[in-house]
Amino acid sequence: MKAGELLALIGANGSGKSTVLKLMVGLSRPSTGTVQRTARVVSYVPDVFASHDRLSASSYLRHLGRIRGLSTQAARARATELLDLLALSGGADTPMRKLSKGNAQKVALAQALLTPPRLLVLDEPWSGLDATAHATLRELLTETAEQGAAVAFTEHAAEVVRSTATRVCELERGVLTTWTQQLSLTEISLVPGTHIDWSRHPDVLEVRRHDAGLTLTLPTGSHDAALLTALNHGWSVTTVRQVTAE
Amino acid sequence: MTALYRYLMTSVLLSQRYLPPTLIFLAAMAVGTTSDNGPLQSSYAFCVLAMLVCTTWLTVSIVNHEDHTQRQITVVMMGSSLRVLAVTVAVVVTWCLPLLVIGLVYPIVTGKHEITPGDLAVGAAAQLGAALVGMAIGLLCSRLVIRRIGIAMLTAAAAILVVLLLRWVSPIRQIMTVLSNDKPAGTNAGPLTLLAVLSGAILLAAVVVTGSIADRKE
Repeated sequence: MKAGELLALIGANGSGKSTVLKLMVGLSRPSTGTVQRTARVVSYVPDVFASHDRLSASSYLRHLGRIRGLSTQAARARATELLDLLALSGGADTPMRKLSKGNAQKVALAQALLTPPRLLVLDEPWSGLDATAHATLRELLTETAEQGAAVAFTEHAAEVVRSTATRVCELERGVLTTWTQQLSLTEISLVPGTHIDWSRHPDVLEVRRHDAGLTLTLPTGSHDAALLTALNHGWSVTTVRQVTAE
Repeated sequence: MTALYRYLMTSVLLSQRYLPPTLIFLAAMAVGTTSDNGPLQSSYAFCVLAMLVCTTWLTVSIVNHEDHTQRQITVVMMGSSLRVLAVTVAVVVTWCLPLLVIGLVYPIVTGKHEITPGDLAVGAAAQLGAALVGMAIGLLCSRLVIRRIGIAMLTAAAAILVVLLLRWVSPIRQIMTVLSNDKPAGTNAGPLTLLAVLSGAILLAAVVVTGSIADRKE
């Protein structure tokens, strides 16, 4: 895996996705061959985070932050920030054994992001999350990859894989069957304002004209600048949606 | 390592899992050594038995305390399962220390004995040896090695019986033999210290074996 890559492992149940993830983080040892891992800061989110601990979510994150090398104050601040971001601030002081599946999953995600990891491995991280946290997680993973981490995850929902991953790897009974590079794109539909020659815009890959205006296609992550240009020139944005090009 | 120790310690403290073995140990002390007028070494022989059972129980409780997935996160964070296990054992040792002090002091406070520094050395070495062997049994009967709690309990009970009854399996039988001879405490302190050191080596071996089995089971 390369830094900045978002790798999705897909495959049927029992195809070996979780085993590959465990090999990546060093929880399992290969029966044959070797695993080379150069990343020092590794974070892992298991498929189910069940805890019977009486520690509260915020206290648990504070302790793990200290293990990660943060000062007590920094660990507390980071834990609060992540819990707010994942909309768990209300349950921060609830003992972890009393958290719902979705909220426990949020704690598991938060612990993985306490410090910027070089390798982030997540086993079905969207499982049990509500719609808001669903979108937040996608943003967090993209952000983490942009900061230089290699991110690997498993997921069954094709839509989530298409909109998040830059690479998709399919497994069948432990064997790699397909390996696809995919590019996440964003389509922006606009109603024209003052004249802009979009074909000269450095990030715009495609311009499609239609009765209501035009639609631009740009790589996800670089569409913010184009949106700003459009708004500054009096254009109205009608839709923004992510698409995938293979 | 200090941060991990603090985390595990806090978690165990809040769980209160240490309470049942501690209370059983206190009850055993009250029943077995209160108002004892015989030789102090005989009282300590009873303490060795109680210490062995309670430290085994305490170790299983503390090692099993962290949930499986929670432990996986900790292991990945620390980068080594052996490091996590070593810190867990440090937490177990911390919880066993008060038992050791109670086992040493309670028979003196509640009984009528003539006390010499040799008696204290004998009591400390004998109970330390028992605690270390108890921790070793507890580790090998924890969820890291035996997943089913019922089988783990039966195995632990069988292991305690074996170390009590068979001479060359562990230092426990030897410790009991030394404590029940009629030699003065000063004479017994040396052999008991050696047996405690041997128990420490057994605990180290148990840590390595447990770590290795836990890695393979993952």
